[in-house]
Amino acid sequence: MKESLDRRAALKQLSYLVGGAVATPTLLGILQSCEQAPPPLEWQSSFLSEDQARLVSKLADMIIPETKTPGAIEAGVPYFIDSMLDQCLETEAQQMFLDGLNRLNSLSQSHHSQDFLKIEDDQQTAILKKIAAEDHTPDEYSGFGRNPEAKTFFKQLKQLTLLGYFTSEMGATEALEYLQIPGGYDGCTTLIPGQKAWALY
Amino acid sequence: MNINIKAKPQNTYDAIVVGTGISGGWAAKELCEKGLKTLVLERGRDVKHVQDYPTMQKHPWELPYGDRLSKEDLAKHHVQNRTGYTVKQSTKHWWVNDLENPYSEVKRFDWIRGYHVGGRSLLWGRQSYRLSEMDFEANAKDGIAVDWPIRTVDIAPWYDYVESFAGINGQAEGLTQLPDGKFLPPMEMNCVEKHLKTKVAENFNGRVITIGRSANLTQPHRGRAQCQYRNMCIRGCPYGAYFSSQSSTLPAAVATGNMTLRPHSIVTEVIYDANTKKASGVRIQDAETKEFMEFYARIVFLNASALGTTQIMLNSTSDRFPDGLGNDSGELGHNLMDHHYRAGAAGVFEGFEDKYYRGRRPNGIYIPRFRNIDEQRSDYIRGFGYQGSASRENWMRSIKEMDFGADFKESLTAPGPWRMGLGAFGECLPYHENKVTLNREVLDVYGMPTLSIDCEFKENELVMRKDMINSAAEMLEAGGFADIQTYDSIGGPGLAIHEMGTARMGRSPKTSVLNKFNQVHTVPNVFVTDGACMTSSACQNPSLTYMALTARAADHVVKEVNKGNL
Repeated sequence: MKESLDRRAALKQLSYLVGGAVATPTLLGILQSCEQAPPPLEWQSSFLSEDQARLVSKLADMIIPETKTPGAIEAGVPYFIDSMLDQCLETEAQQMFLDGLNRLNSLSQSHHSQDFLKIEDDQQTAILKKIAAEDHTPDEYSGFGRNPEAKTFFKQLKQLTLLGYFTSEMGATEALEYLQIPGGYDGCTTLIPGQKAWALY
Repeated sequence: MNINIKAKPQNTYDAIVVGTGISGGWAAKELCEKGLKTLVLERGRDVKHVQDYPTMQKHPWELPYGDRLSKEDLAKHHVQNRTGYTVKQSTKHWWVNDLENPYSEVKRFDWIRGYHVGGRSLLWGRQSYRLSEMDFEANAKDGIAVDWPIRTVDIAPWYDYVESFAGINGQAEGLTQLPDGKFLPPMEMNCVEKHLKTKVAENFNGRVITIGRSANLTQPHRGRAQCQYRNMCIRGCPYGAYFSSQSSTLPAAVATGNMTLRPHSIVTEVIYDANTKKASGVRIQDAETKEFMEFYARIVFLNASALGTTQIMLNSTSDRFPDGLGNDSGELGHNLMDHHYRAGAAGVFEGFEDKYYRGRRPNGIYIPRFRNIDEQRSDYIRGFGYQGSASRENWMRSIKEMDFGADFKESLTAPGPWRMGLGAFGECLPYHENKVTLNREVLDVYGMPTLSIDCEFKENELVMRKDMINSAAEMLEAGGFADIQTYDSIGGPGLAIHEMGTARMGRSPKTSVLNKFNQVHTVPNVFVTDGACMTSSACQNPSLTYMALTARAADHVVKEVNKGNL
């Protein structure tokens, strides 16, 4: 059952298919630099096509790259986004997302005559910044909860990436501080320099 | 056909309690402890304490879709999800399937329900406040609806009693409009909340901000462990650290050996005996076998929730009561109330950057009512209280921004700015025309008539909301908050999940359904002690009052039985 296939399972599947190594952006870059057809997708997408899934992986990685802590790809975010698109987003929101992916490729084609995944890193960043600026509506959306649907593609992308990342085990326990059972409450602690935000709130 | 001759003795108890939520659990405990053999009927499935809380220990990454609902889940919970906060992957098993539990909305009404042993006692917000003399006097003073048949002197000892058992934390403040209780030690405010408390007291003539009074244990209490500050109460607590029927009242009832709990038992009507002029018992349909059965008792407590109880009473027709059990007044189903909320303000606090907190407090701050106490306003009557809290923003703060990448990611791993919100809960007046009726055109899956709900907030509530919003912004402004934004998102009545008033207490059978002991005026062995009994709504969260009224009614039952009156 698809629901029971969690992101860790997806990750295991991923590392198996690429020969035991976890697919880092660098590794993906190497694979993509070959002139041959792109390699098969390392995880089974439900909603996105393989090309779309590769693009989404790249975008998630651009938003949350690997730093001192794992990035979006290692945390299984592309799989998460695909499952959210498949199971949670309404048709209209799905279409907005797909249109957004097409906008990226159209911009890339018109500026560089190549698809987004084939252009240089700085070119990709410039295009994603342009999309972010186009989709920026500062007062319209401020978070989840009672206002769950993002109104533009970039906010969808960011919402899904951040939600997937910060609720993943790696995101919650490595990028943030995860405290499942606090045991007590201290309302006024002194923030230690470098102290991470709590993963649960 | 004399099936019942055989069945009658084995289906006969001293008392029957319908429902296992906050008030039903109390009825079960009190009646059993007084020695009555008590049958407790629950329309939903059984839920065993701890072992039937499947998500209580789940990590975020163990919940699909980041704990958000799938489209399929949403279809099943489209009404339940109207709150925007209650239904998640971690809680969806608690809420009714809206496809299987229809009702009709003449006007939008958000009926949020959980059908299982424990009911909404497992799901409630745990805020626990007493009503004051001002609240009990309000209807008489304003000439609205009918007078409450009780005053604080009648209920205060029972507030003491239920607080002492349930375990309510809070800070005594000595306010007449919000009486103090028997409190466990209060929870702590954080730096920004304390700051606002000081500024509001300075700028608004001593206006009080106190820590919320909640049914979470701040120390071990009667064999239950203290709160571990996970703030996952709604999933069910492995420590039994908040009050629920499972953690508190049902175990006490079980311990007496007098309770028989029967889940999957949908009560369709109370059986009225014209000879004795009392109820002889209840008729149920077994939700699993679909079989109809009857159970008999000297005493019947209806605790099926305000609307659930009313539905049963409306469906209990007889020659004597063609319009529903005990409905001589015509008030049964009328005077439906809920609190109106989702009005307030929020702002950012620039400062205390070196302060944070540890632990997730399942409670906020409370600003007791300050309107229409001494000075009376000309634009609306009654009042409101605020709930709120301050916290440092999390990663969600960045969704609206354009940035991405490594620096962006690192910035999100640190706590964001402090933000504080104040949201008011306002009193709703009892309007006769706000009502539920039986809809015999739409039957539920068991063939029982469903409810049609015709209810709206009116002028007094809508005018009050403007003050709720402005006063919140004013206080935040006085506290030095920046970027203050107000909000007004009223939704439908029902959204506060405080349905009340559809079988109200009163002094006269001509204008009310229940007397001062929650006894149906004209069917004295039937008691209603859930939200249906409320004569006015006040602005406080009502569950504590249901608890106190239930314990008081059970005490009255035994006195009456001993006198030979029941």
